[in-house]
Amino acid sequence: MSDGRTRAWRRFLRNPGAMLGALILAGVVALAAAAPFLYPEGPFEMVGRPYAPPLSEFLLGSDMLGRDIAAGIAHGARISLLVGCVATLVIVLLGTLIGSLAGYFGGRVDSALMRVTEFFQTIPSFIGAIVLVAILQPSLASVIGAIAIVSWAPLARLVRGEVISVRNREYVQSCVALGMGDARIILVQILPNVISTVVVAASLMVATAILFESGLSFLGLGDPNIMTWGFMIGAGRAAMRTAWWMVTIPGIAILLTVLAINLVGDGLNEALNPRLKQL
Amino acid sequence: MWQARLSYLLRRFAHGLPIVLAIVVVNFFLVRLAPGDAATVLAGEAGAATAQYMEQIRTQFGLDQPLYVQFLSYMKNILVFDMGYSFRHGRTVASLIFERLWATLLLMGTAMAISTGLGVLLGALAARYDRKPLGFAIVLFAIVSYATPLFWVGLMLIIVFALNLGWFPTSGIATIGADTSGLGYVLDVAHHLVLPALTLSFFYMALYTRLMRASMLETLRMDFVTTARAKGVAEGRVVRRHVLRNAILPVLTMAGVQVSGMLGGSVIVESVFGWPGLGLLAFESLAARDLNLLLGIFFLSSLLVVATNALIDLAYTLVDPRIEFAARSKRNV
Repeated sequence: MSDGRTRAWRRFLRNPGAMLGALILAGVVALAAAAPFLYPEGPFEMVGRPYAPPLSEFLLGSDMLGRDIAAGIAHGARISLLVGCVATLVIVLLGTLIGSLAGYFGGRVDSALMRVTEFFQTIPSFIGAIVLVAILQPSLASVIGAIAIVSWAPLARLVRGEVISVRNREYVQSCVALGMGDARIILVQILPNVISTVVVAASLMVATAILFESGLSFLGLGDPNIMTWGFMIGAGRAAMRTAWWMVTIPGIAILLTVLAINLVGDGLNEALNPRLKQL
Repeated sequence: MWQARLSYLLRRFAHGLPIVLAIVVVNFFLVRLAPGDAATVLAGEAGAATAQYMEQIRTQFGLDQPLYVQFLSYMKNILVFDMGYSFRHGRTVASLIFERLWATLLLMGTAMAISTGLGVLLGALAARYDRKPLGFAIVLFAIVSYATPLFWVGLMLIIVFALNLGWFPTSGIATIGADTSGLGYVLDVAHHLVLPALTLSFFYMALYTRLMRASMLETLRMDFVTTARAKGVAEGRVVRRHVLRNAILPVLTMAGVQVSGMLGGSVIVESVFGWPGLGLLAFESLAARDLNLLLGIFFLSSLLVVATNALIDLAYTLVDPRIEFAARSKRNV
């Protein structure tokens, strides 16, 4: 096992795309961590002349209210990463729970749970998230919850498939014969074999969740007290004719972060499932 | 044969029925999930609602009745597409939605054609020139496009092609005040359609490119391709007749699955470009807190997904005759 892990690590480290992604991601994480020290006054503070272009008064310019865009980027990184990680955590818990129950027990449990899953896969997820956030009132929690609720279904399907393929192997059957409890078999015998698939899917889901959040806050469905990249772009739209940087710079931040996470996810996929095709 | 197809289509629609029913139930309870009285929610920002007005809404929606009576009347209304009244617009939700539907369908249809067409082409090229500069460039382009937020693509296209170059209009579906009809109107709409359709197809094109490339590379390694080559079939013909036809199937399946995603994308693209479809209507209803209208849009777009899923399944059987109609009652995405 540890030998396999070392080999997976080596494959990951030798993948130039994955390393580039990891490097950019490390930069974003560092920026997010340093935001309170770099810009202690927070992203909403009006610190100077409005409409200042980049590389003049401020490194990345200022917006129409004289807020430092760099401060918004730094503080926005915290929110993007937070939403991406927490939403993915909820998705993984929910998807793994439902997928493994359906796959392990089969029969009626399976068909009932898969009906529910199919429902969540059918509804248009972004519109569903808009409806949920609009009804629950925009807040960090409702945004994360809405993203998780509309996104767990594909993961549940994936986990179910994996669990079914493991379920009838001999070592699982022998545990059943030994009289081991269902919960223990799922947790100790089956899930460890599914985990590499979940890790790969989850890493790509962080990126999707970040894109989702930016879309919601661009439409004005973000928490009004929190500065996010999507909100910055939505607000900068009004001044697009004269001040291109207000919409361009936060977009590049989203692009780089999502790109980095996707590259790391692809790298993990190739490292952990070398024989499998790309997701 | 067409009888088998028809019965298959009917069965496919029957399969979608429980989902539609579930959507209706969820819609019904969603309004009641909102903090506060459902009447306040339904009134939205319809103004400083007077006590009398609120009472009117309560009676109209039967909010003073027990829950199961409310639910039954809601079901009855939905069956005839009565989705209530938008106080904001002063019109029924159904009339608003159906008026806007065609613009969204036009946008999505165009974007789907562009994204699958270009995606298949780029993916095939990337596979053909694998490990060569062209293949690498296409893969790089796809990876970057895949990570770009749709609304940002739209805004960048507006800045470059509408504001700076002035090639395309910034928003709307037709020139306001232009008294055009017939062909002139069609061309005007097409001119307005270019940027929104490109924006919406951007992400999906990247997705299909990656998928097509992977699928092509896999098919190229298959035995029947080797056989075709061994028979002396010219390379171009091998690719066109043997590889492309098989490799395209996963892309088709994916395109069907993505209808639901594209509907979400059209909300964003329409809000960026002021394209007067369902998405813009959803955006406007958000701003006005017109939840009833928003739920109507949600319901109709879910119906749209169920219907297209069934149609895609049918198209699938046309492309790949090996698929038994009966065996495809369950979709495995």
